[in-house]
Amino acid sequence: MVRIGCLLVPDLPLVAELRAHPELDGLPLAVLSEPGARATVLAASPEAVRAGVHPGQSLLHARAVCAELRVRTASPALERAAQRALLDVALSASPRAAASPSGTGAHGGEASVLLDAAGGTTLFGSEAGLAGALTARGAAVGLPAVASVASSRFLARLAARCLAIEAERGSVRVLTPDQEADFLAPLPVDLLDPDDALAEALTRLGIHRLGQLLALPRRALATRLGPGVQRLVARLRGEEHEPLLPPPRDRRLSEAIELEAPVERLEPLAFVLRGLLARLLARLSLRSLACGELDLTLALADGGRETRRLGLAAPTLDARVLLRRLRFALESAPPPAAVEGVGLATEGQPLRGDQLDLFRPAGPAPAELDALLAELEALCGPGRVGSPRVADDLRPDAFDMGGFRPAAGCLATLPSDPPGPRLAARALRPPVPAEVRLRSGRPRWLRSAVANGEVVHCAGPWRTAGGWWCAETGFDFDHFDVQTSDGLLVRLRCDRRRHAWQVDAVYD
Amino acid sequence: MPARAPGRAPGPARAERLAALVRDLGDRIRPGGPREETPGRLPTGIPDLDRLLAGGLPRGRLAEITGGPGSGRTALALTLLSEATRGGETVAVVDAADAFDPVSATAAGVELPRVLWVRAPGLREALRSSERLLEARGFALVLLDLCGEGLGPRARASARARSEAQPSEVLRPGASAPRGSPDPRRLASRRLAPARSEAQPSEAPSVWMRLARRARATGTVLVLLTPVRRVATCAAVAIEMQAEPARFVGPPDWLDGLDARLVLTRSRCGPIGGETVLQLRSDLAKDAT
Repeated sequence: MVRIGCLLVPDLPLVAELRAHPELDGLPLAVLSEPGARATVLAASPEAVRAGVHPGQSLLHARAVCAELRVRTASPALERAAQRALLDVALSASPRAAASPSGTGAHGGEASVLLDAAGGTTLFGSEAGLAGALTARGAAVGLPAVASVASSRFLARLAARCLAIEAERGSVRVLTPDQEADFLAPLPVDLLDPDDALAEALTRLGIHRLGQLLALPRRALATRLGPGVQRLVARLRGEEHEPLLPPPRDRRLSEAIELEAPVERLEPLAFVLRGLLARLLARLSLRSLACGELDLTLALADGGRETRRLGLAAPTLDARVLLRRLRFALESAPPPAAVEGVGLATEGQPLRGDQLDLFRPAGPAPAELDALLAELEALCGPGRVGSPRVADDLRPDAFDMGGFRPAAGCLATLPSDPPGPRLAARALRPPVPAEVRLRSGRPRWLRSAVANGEVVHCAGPWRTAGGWWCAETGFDFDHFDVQTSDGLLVRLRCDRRRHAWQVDAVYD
Repeated sequence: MPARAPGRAPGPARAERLAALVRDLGDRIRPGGPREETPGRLPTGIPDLDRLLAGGLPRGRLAEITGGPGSGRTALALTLLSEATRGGETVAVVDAADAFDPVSATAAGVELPRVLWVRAPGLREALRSSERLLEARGFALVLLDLCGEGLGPRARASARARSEAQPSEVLRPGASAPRGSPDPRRLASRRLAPARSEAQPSEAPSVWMRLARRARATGTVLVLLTPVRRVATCAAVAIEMQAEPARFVGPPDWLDGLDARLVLTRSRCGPIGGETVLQLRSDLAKDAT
């Protein structure tokens, strides 16, 4: 048996604005068709409606009846994101879901999704439980909606539309097949949103209720009012063939916002990003996924568009970590112009737990580590944070730095004999120039910013040479371990190509 | 059955039973209060020092290692890193002097993949980096190396400028050390360990209190490597390193190593004043043997 669920948001422009600006909830708010004084009201909040504001009014009229009216211009980006979030809610309850076509006429502001409700009782106990879960999840992502379950898409959407008109948000209705005729009978024909010609013909015939329409012989209706009515009646009786709802193809989630005024500073931008992230993560958690790579898109005031991809060490749902990562990305490379619009997009990845070792202590959590490394690099500069490596280079002052990813290892691979305390060198980067006096080719006196005095002990030289084929990168050093009369033990080197002395390390 | 009013005194029979129970338990029962913390230990890899510290450096506390150049402080720090990483711990080195030498660290047994090296360009960045590392859980040890302020690029540039403006009174070019000159080791410490005001351009005492608090919250050991004592009572352990003359053997001459005297000058987990000698041998000497 086919069972279809419908989740419906009656005023999408209003809901989309309130979802992005929750601070406006509870205030008289009107969503306008366009910026400027010629705008008309597309949707109004219940508080504004109580004050006398209605869709279709001009802005001047609306302001005249409600002085405290807050206005926002309808944002296609916000509405798109809200519609996709609605689809996410449906997909969290059923693998087959699709957005239904937008309403027309008086129902032009509504948005709805249809889902395959067959089998929903297994997961949610009953169809009412499924509908209740849908409205609760919708409310969790900022979409107050109504839900219904019926035998066909048309009936489910009609039931949801009725519910939105007559009841509070969050209500649910389940129509069993034997209840559908009783449900339809008292409903006005206008709910079907007929075209003008059909509406006029039905009025002329005195047909105002769906029950009256369904009681008429179908052949006679088709003869008098055309095949459109026949199709309408077939839909109402649940006889129309409907293909199965397709599984969704696009796994990408995106949230975007167009700012009313260009933003030049990081703090206000971070505030906007926090809201975007919260909405994105709520949708990800509906799909039981986490944020892996994050794409940040900035629409700039100079007409440019900048897109950055932020990689993360591990998928996460921690908004704090992601926000920190975004902040440091923007701090380290600020956008060249003020920002007019921001978008975040991600392809969800399964959230996986850290693999803990039985024998080794747990290190830093990968997701937090990523944010930490980004912060440290922003603080200390690029290329100054990482894991040290012994460079594959004979040059004395060569060192290497790689990405820090604490490797999982095994105790059995460790050497059993610790080397114990050893004499260590402190590198001088860059090496300190020195003035040296020689006796029999060996240093006997040293002057530098590090060590000064007569050379008390000297060992060496040890020659290190390489890169002889290239004048720029070639090197040829004689190294000495030298203790001076001021008590310091340093590594001294003679650059034989440039005929210069340098101290490149202090033994400590 | 009527509900019992909150805070109502127990009946006489119940009070009598409670008193009897307290009498029976005797000193096994005591008033409640905050539980005394006994921090775990992070072994140092030096048995004598572990004995002095009752098992190692206390986790979640601040430890300070002081000493002049050539005193073996870096060798001690690398030994700590080696012991921690060989135990599977993750550690961080905040290197204000840019003096960390991966070759020496490898020779000391440090597992470099488990080391996060932060080359902080200045004191402010070093302190801020240390604070963030202490806030992040998962690091067993954070080594804050401030020994290089006298050796770092900035200080070296200023030292060079000073040196060029005022040539050394002790050692002029072409002259040997004059007789009766001051003790060379004190001269060295004067030159490389800058005056306290120079060594601490912007840090306030509250910085160390804050860092110690962060370390306590996450259980990370913060080891401060510095030429002079700069953490007053915030440090749970203070170790002073004293240099002994280097050993050269030969001919042909080679650097055999040096001995470093380690004195425990402060400890909240045991008696102070204990000392031990570290025999630091050079790689060349080890290879030769």
